[in-house]
Order: sequence, then C-alpha cells, then structure tokens
Amino acid sequence: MEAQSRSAFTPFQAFGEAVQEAARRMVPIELRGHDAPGGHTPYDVVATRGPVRLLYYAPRGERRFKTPLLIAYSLINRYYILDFMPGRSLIEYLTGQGHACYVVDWGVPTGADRHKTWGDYTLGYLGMAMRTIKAREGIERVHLFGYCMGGTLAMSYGALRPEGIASFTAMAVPVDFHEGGLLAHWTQPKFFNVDALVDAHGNVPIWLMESGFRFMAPLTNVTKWRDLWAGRESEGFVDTWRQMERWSADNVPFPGEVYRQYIRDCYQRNVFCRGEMVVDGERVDLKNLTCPVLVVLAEKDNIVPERMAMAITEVVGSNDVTVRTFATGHIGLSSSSKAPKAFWPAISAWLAAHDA
Amino acid sequence: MSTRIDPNALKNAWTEWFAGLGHLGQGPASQVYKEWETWFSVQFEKLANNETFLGTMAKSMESNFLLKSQFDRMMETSARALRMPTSGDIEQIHKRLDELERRLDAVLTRLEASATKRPTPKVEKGEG
Repeated sequence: MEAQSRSAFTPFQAFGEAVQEAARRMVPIELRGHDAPGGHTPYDVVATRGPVRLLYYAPRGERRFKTPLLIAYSLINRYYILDFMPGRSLIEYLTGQGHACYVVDWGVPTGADRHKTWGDYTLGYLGMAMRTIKAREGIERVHLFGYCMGGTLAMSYGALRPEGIASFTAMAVPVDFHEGGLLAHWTQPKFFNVDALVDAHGNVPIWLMESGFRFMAPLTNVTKWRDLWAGRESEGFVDTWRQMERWSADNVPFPGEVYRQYIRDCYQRNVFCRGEMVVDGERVDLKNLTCPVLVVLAEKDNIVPERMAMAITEVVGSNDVTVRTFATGHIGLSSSSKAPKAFWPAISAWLAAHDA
Repeated sequence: MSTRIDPNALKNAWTEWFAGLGHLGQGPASQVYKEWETWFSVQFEKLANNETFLGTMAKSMESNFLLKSQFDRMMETSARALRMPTSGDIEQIHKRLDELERRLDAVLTRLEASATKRPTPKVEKGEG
C-alpha cells in the first residue's frame, strides 16, 4: 500500500480494501483477472535502486546482434504488458530474434518516492540502467526503446545524454501534448489543479488514476463483460481476457513530483514538445537526439492519438526517421494477437539494420 | 490448456448477473442495447467536453484535496505538540537522501566521461 496516503484516512481505506477483496473472492476464478500470471519470460535482475529494477532478458538461442536494447515502459500500470502472454510477448519475440533486452521495471513507488523528480527518473534511474548495461556488455552505445509515457522519459534522457544512444524507438510516445485528446482537455489548468493534488496526496493514489482512466472510456466497464460472454467458448479467449484484466487492474501510484512536472510542463504548457523543458537545471533540447529514430504508431490509439505521437518527427534532430503505422490500438501494439506477425517483425528488422 | 467458462457450473448472484449481461449481445435485447450504447456514447462525449460539468468537477476535486491537506496539517501540528516525529520529518530525510543520490549520479557521470576521454597509454618496449 502506498505509504504516502497513510493518515487518519487509513482505517477507512483499509475497510474499503477489505470489502473489495471480499467481493473479489465471490467471483469465480474463470472471471477473475487479478490473480492471472503476469509476465512469463525468464529474466535476471542486474541492478536495483529504490523501487526500480533493471531486468535482463537474454536472447533465446544465438545472440545475433551486438547492441542491446534498453526498454522503458510508462509509470502508469506495469512493464509486463511487454511480456503479455506466451506467443504474444514483445520481449519474447525480440529475444527470440537474437536481441538482448534490458527492461526497466519502475516498481511500486512509496511515500519515500514522492519527492523524486523527472530528473531522478531520467538522469538517475535511466542513467543507472545505461551505466550498468555498458559495463556488463563492454559497449559504448545502447538502443533506447520507449513505450507510451516511458518513451517521453526515455526521449528526455536521450536529449540530455545523447552520446550513449545508438538508436531511439518511440512506440506510441506522447510528444505534442496539446494533441492529447480528452486527457489534454481535462488537464487544462482551469479544470485541473495539479499542485493541490500533489500537495494533498504526494504520490497520485491508485484510485484516482483508475477513476480517471475509467471515466475516459466508461462503456468498457460494460462491454468487457459482454465480450467475455461472447467469447467464453473460444479457444484462448478467457485466458487472454483474464491476463488483460490483471494487467489493467495492476495500477501503481504515480510519483508525486514527477506527476506535477509531467502535467504542468507537458500537458498544460507543452514545453516538452518545444524543447524547453528543464530537468535538473538542464534544458531538454530534443534537437540533440540525432541518432536514427523509429516511430511506431497505432491507428486507433485513443490514449496517444497519432498526431500527438507523430510530432516527434518534427522535433528531433535526427536525419534518419522511419515511421511505421499499424492498424491497432494503444495496447494492441504490445499485446495484439496480430502483433507477432504483423507489427513486431518490422521493429526487429529496423533494429537489426541499425546494429553496430 | 485454455480456460473455458461453463455458465451452468457457475451459480451465484454474480454469475447470474454476468449471464444476463451476456444476453444483451444476443436476441431481441441486442438491438435495444446497441441503441443504448450509441446514445450513451453521444451523451458521454457531450458531458466529457462540457465546460460547466468539468468546472464543477474541478472545484469539487480541489476542495477535496484542500480539505485533506488541511486535515494532514492539523494532525502534523498535533504530533509536533506531543514531540512526536511526523511524516514531514521523514520526508525531509528522504529529500536529503534524494539529494545525495543526485550528487552521486553526477560524480559517476563525470567519472564515466573522463574514463571515455582518457587517451590509451602508449606502451613502450624497453630494451633489456
């Protein structure tokens, strides 16, 4: 449980959690998602700091490429959507193609992390990951791969420390936040006082994150059950449904100060996109990102709409930018049944072509 | 082996509700449901963009946050009066630790940069 929110409210929260748990236990296992397995590809933990772990997924079979990947997922939900299910796992696919993958698991922030800044998550944690990889592999440059908001963090790091980056892959990465659809509308300063929220709660509580996302697509709370009923006898459907339920319910608190800067600088002022964001006294000049860039977009993405992500092509300093658009949604990029044949081969081939 | 649901084997109020919901996608109810879904989507779209609604939500949330802040401050003051360590004190310690971590990172980055720049020493063979 998030230590930050412990106060006189704790007994009420504990009661609410107990009621929720009792309700969950009433639901037959076939309909439960929260205890489905999360992630399946074996890994080694090669570095830790605070709640953060750096996971190493070795290539399955022969290692075919010298330059390893560092994958950064979002601070919303957990990294294991990248290792969704056997046969539908991006990590499993890439390691199967002979790529060595390192993945940052941001862990579960506690009250101790409420003052951690954007700089701590980029120069601190991503910096630590890069140093560890370089030392382990005896190399100078690493492929940086960011998914969703993890891509925004990775892009910041890449702009601040471009010398160690062999290439940057941006998979559904928000860049121009004023093109962010409903979220951009709701987070306008007149509708959302981010300072009041962070000052009151520190880390953004799970219930608040969840209610925001549920409100974005309220019908899914009904349609997901209808879909489950419709697919109840289809091969593999229930397992996939449970896995997705588990992942989507596995929310974590959002570190308070990172959230404050994310909302203020990205959604409200949109300074990230203009290369004017300041991290630990340094300007995040996106023109510094001169390495080859692969932009992976989802046509039906309602979390990071195409125009929001496409802005990267105009703001980076790279002369080698490739854009690939796939007919899926935001999460489909990493978990769709079509992905292993239709989406990921293009990513792997691009990385292979940019191997040192 | 994949999991399948046998609705007859699952009997409780929850699964009855689930089965009822499932029937919304079949038979004569499906048309009504589809119309409701379309209607709901249109209404939601309007609501999600309605300035008055969003303004009211914002005020309500902000009041809630301010109330919590005030309550926590009150608890903190009481704890201080009793000479008890407070969450604010612990936060100060965390802030200092964060600062130390940042300094350590800066040192490591500089070390790494200087190690990269250092020229390879020339190896001279001595004559023996």
